[in-house]
Amino acid sequence: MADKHLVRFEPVGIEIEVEEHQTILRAAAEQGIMLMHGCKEGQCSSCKSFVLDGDDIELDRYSTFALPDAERDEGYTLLCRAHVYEDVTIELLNYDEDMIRSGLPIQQAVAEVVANDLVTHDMRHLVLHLIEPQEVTFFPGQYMDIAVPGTEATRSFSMANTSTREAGQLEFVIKVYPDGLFSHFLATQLAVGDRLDLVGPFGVFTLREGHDADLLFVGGGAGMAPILSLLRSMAERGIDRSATFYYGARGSRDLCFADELRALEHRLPRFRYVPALSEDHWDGEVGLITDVVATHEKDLSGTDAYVCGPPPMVEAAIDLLSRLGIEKDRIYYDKFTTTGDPDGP
Amino acid sequence: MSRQSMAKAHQKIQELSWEPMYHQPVSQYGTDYTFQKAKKKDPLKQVLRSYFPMQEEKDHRVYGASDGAIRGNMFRQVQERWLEWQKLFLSIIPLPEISAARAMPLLFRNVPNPELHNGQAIQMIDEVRHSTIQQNLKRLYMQNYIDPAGFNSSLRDFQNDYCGTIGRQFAEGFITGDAITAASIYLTIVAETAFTNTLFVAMPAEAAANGDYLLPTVFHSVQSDESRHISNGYATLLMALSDENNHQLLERDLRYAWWNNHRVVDAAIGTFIEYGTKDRRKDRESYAEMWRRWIYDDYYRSYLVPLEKYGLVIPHDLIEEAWNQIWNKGYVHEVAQFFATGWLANYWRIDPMTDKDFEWFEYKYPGWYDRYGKWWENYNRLSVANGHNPIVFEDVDYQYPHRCWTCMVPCLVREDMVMDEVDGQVRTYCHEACRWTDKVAFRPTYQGRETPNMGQLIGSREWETLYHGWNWADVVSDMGFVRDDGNTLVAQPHLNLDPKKMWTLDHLRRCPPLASPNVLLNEMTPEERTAFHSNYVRGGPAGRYAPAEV
Repeated sequence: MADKHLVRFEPVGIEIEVEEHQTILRAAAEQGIMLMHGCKEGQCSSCKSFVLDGDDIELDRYSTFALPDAERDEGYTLLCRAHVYEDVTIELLNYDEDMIRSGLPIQQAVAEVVANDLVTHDMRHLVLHLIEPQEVTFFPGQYMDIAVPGTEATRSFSMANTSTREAGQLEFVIKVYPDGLFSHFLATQLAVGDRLDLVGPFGVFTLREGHDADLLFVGGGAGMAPILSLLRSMAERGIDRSATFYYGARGSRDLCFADELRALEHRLPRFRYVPALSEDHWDGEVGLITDVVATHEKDLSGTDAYVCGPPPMVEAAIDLLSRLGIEKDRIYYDKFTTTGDPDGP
Repeated sequence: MSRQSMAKAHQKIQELSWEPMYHQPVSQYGTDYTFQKAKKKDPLKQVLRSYFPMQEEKDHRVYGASDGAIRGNMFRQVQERWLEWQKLFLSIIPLPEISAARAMPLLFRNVPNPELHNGQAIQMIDEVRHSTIQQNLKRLYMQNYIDPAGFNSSLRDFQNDYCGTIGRQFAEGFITGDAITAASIYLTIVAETAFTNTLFVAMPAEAAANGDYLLPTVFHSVQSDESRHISNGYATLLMALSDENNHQLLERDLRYAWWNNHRVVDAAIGTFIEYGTKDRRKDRESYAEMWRRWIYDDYYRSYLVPLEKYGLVIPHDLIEEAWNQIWNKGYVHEVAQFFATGWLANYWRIDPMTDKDFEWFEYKYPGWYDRYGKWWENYNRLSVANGHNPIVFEDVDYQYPHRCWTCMVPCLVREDMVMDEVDGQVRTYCHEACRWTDKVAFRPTYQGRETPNMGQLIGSREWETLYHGWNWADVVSDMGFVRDDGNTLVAQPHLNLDPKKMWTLDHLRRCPPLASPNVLLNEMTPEERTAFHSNYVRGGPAGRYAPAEV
């Protein structure tokens, strides 16, 4: 018999593996899933949850005030005391959707530059290889703070890759501003083999997976990075939700990762990539990205939206998406990546 | 097997609207926080369908345990050292509970999210229940314990007592000042999420080890409600976080709430657990070990650090400093020594420490004997009246401390004491963080921003000042801490109930009058005060006077 089992949390749709000797709470914490808890001794009932599917669950010593027999019979359990001996589905009764993915440890890291290449005329693709520690686990959509060498300052950049595939590597897409503290350094000095200090991961721009709502991504500029990370993660895991990525750029020289995104359309049959140019004429969509969304989408009620890009674009997109019927709390945007200084992604 | 979703049942509750539609409610408690952006879902799926049957069963079990304790004569077998401290603890704790019930309506009005009101309403019912079963526990102790004095008058007692007032300050913190500061950050985010584990999980374990199985029953019943309260706090905090205007206030309130909870809860619960127990097994966790495990390793890392991802500054310095106080500066030991120094101003008996206790303290807190051993030997020597006065008047190298205006625990870690002139009065504070709380945080403006809802720390906060110049016999009579014979004190510095061994008002009448260090400080010239302060901060540990300067 295997000593590891799958625990699926509803309604958030998160799955983790739990070893028999671990409690569910402990295993979740180790995998960066922050579940509500208090005493961790089976007394406060903060982690009380409901077993939707599965029976073979044993509990360490607990207070029957926290879990009376009648409740246990009904299907309640205490995650801080529960060991599973088969795959189970647990309905969380006490959680916050934004916080649940906040459990990954924040780490100080040193990484070495592997590549620093232009992907458009003013955006660079920076790839780092982690030296110490050798791996940093992050959720797709999160970001790291990178120290600007020779200064006290740090700048935040979202990862474009996923740590499930490449935990030893961090990939960024960074727009170069002539006066940008980090980006100027990136464009003029940073060379392959140089080392950088980083802290992270941070951020809650992560995929909400509790339901099968349609997905709408709206991006511009370096907002490409976290959205690419989310899409790559969906492809890795075969999450085939209906999804559209509207990406806005000025001219065709501002487009990047187009080949990969087209390839994703094949791997994820219900995914569409819609780039639009605001200043060039071409055979694709033309206009401000929000106008393009408005042309294509009439009713977005029930859709989850993820927005990342320059602040004016984000603000315009939030207004538009609300008008098109998306509930405000279903529009996700990472304020650090949109309202930071001009160096932000 | 498959079951029906609880979340769907909970969803139906949202059809009940809590928002008044036809009346403009009065605003009794305001807040400087703003809630404009995304509303939060009620994180805890609790429905009344399951709430009331669950609470009913829990109450039945408490009554059952009460019957069992009476039948088994538990009250005569429990360690007296432990139960005496319960006279203090159980006099205080129903007030924080009922204050927490009162705090919930503050949130109804101020957190514009009807979804959360379901959880807040249930918490209000919880808190009333807690207060009731705790007072019932106290009544059973009074009826059945060998020495009911102190249990029989505790609602009045703790408001006069020189330890109990600290607890009252704590409870009032839930319902005064800015509504979000009080009811959300101070109460649910810090007190309930961080400190209730030591209060309601560690205390019952210690009670059971001392032969009391009724208190664990009552407190497990209480603690099993905690999940709701943690969720309520967190949901409100996350709503507040989403509006960046609130960050400045959140950072202020986390500093205040963290530090004040540490000062008060660690003082009280630390003393009960370390000095109220007879269980000296080496493998029993010390308060410091529990604190490290629950508060530092878990609460700090699981609940506070993730808030940094929202751009909030967490008071790392004060968290490290609280640990420094507990581990390096002997905070709990300093408090226990202070509570025992003024035993005569209390309404319970404090058992002297024995060699077995000394050995345990030295094992758990290396260096304890060098700091506190001598004083506790003196306490033991002076415990039975034999021509001498109570220890506070005797020469045992203990400088009676000044009160901290903010947390109302005295300035026991001498080196940290700070003085400041605030509202026309020279005040002493146990630590810079308490000075900041009074002078900076609880003010109508904060960092240039209007904060009219904060209120201020007022009242007769220094117990000694209430009785400055009084004869001690009159002080104790005024507080009402006298037994039925009209002369014997309720408090005693030992556990012997032989009348010949007990202290009386007659013993106190011959003692010097009570002198408030804070009154004397205000009578000094500025130069005298400065000199006094520089001397005070060289004193300690264990209340020792500063060594003579060479």
